[in-house]
Amino acid sequence: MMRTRAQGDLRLRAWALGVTVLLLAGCHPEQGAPDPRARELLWDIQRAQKGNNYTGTLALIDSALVVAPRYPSLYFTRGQLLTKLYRFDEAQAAFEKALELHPRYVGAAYHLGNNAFFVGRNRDALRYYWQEHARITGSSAKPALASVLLQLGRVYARLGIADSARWAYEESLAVQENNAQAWAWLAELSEDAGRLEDALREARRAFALEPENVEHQYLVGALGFRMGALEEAEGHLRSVVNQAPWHAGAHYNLGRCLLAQGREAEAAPFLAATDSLQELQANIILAKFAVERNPANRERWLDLASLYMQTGQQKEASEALVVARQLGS
Amino acid sequence: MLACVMLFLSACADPTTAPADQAAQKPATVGFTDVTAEAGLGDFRHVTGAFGEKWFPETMGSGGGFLDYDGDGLADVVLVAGGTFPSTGEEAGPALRLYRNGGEGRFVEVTEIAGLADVRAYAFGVTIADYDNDGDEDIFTTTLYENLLLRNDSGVFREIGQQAGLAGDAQWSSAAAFIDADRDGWLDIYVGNYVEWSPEKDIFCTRVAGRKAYCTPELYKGVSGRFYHNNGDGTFTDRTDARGFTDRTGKTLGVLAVDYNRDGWPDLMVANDTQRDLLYENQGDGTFVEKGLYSGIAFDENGRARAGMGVDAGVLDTTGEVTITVGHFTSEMIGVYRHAKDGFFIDRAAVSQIGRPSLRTLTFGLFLFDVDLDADLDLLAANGHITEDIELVEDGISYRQKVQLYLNNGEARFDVIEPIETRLVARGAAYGDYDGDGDLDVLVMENGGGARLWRNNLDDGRYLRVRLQGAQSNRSGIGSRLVIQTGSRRQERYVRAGMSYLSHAQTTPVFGLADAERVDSLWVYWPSGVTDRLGSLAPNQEIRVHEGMPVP
Repeated sequence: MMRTRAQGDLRLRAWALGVTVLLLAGCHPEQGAPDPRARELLWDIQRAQKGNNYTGTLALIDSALVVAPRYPSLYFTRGQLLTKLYRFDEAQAAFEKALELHPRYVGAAYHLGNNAFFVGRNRDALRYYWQEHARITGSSAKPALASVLLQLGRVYARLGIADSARWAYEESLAVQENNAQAWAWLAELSEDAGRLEDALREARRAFALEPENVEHQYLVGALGFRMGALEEAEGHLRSVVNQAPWHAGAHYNLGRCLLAQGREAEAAPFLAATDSLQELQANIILAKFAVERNPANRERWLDLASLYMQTGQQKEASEALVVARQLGS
Repeated sequence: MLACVMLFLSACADPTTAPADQAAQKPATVGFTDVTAEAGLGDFRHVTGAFGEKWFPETMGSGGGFLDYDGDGLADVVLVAGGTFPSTGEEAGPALRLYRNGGEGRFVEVTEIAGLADVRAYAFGVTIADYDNDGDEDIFTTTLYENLLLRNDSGVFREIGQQAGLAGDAQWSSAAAFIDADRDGWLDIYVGNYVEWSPEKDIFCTRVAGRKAYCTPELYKGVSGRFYHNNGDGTFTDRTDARGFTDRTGKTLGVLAVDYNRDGWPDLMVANDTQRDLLYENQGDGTFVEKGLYSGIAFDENGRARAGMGVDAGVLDTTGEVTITVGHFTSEMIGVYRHAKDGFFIDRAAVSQIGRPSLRTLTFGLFLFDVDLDADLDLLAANGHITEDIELVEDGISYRQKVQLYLNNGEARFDVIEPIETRLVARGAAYGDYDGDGDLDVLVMENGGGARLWRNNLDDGRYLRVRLQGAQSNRSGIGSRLVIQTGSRRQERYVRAGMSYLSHAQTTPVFGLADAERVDSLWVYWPSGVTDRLGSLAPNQEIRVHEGMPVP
């Protein structure tokens, strides 16, 4: 019975890793100059990071910490890498250390918030996000502020406080009006409240801002179907199915949309695919849990990669393979 | 801006309390009084058999319900007492405990004199009907091993599961429903099974290294349900495959008979835990075709399987179409699937306003009844988590949860209230009019705890209770559809045996009449095909309808 909740958590987790990039791109904290040897290692660390060499980067960070043990950026970077490796407890310790050394270190509280959010400690997540919010409000880091507000909204939504969630998303849009994700999550809020017309309008805004995002397009298609806009919905859902062959929801809604038009024979393969994709996705959730429980186990990462390959999620499969390769045999 | 600031402040103060506060602030139009102790049910305790090993079955029981085992017209109560695991050597008590309604709101335990004291099993659920058409109600009980059929012989029960061919294999059964699938006048039964579990197959699950936690069903193989045909001679024959029950998914926790397409043939809804739900459509000859995926019942709106548990169905609005409701896990809305047309359902959870309040609860027991007798069906959700320390795992979710009552505005839009302050680890739930005052009272069973009987506090309200006696049809009238007309308003009830989670509600249908002075017409559509019509009925009475012999 726990799977669905866990599934939601993992989806959120994947998203949170995405916004991390956004946040850091907007922030340049001045943390003071490190030891020259550490600076040299920092260049190496950056190069290793660009090559997706996670374990190598971690080793370099550890070396740098020997010569610059009070340099918060090293801990911060370490935390980010450990998060990618699903080593969340260690990641948390790294972010906490960064904050301990530099109480106003931009991004650290945000990541701590993410970690708390991942494991369901919603109150802690709120506290961290509000800390980050206080730190960057008034700064020029608008994308970062927008991300923090978005994530605040996410926690409120999870807690069932829809009004606060809406407020946070709208604040995020006030900071960064072209934030497609904020529109998409506003649409979800409206959908949960049964305001389908609002939801469809908001989903369309999200999709207009990020037409390459299949999740936004799926939302438009699924809501359109429920609103009876069958032709429009069919177009969107077909597009999502083509772009994301692993997308159970798109297959399901496309099948239902075709059924609603009396095209039963056309619907059949999409509905059948939903069944098998649903099973594969369930196995992916279990494989992710297995990785979380034992992130140093190469076989677990390979299992995860294999399942991603089966669903056609090439990017995710590659990421899992990168980690597996670095863990050695 | 001020509004934003206020939102900000209130959110920071204690964000997790807001939803409960919002619910509590709604004006309560109905209420209950906990009468468990004064009614004589206070000594009951469900036994999980837990002894530190965190075995999966411990978290899942149990059910119970209302019946009239002695035919005196008063609602008696049967409670499923759980059990112990044979390997522990702990002595088990009776699998079921029976309480006779002595009138004036008092029950007396009759487990022993009713022959149930020596019936031992690790039991989960009950469904009740007169399967042998001898005029009294029999009890079918699902267990962790072989199931039990308790034949009622003038108020004394005899366990004949094996002899009747209903015991089945030694596997974990959950929900069951009596259903006259081929309309031959004899009640067949569908038995839902859960997962392959035994002490030997128990899996060590953990969230904290070295410490065992309860596993989740994904890790276990599902066991599919069985269909048994009633031979009419007191025995049953397994006709699972022959009748089309070929899906092998299993992990069933809810089973419900429902004639959603109104063809007079009972269909079957099967709610599964983390697997797609099933809708078996009766082909008009007692054989079935599974249409869950095509109907829109199988998954949520995003094509994901949910943790299906309790299930019930009824007509919630003026469309006249059947809505099937399904309880789910936290972060999953209660399913509110309304039949649109041609076997196609739409989940109206969000639109109905049931969805969002149900996201924070884990709903096991769930049923539709007209709690305020205002002529529409309301929904009660009995909630409780399976993880004792869930508060540590996820803020805002609690192990013990309040029961929610969703009040229908007549158009299938609902306001939620929490009618009882007590938080429970609720599992089964059922309704019945134990005090005979016309309104429906509530029975809730708690995992590892007591049963709760809540008296409906409604002071006035008009009702019509209809007691059926089949002739060509099965004696209990299971599978009958009742329709009443009061002015321009039509209501419908379907008589069923087995609903909610592992439970059984009073078989006698009750209609709330709002302010209607009379019931203009009552139609009874019997499973035999006979239709009886009665006209101009006064409110606040129980009428008896014998098949083919309508009262003028």
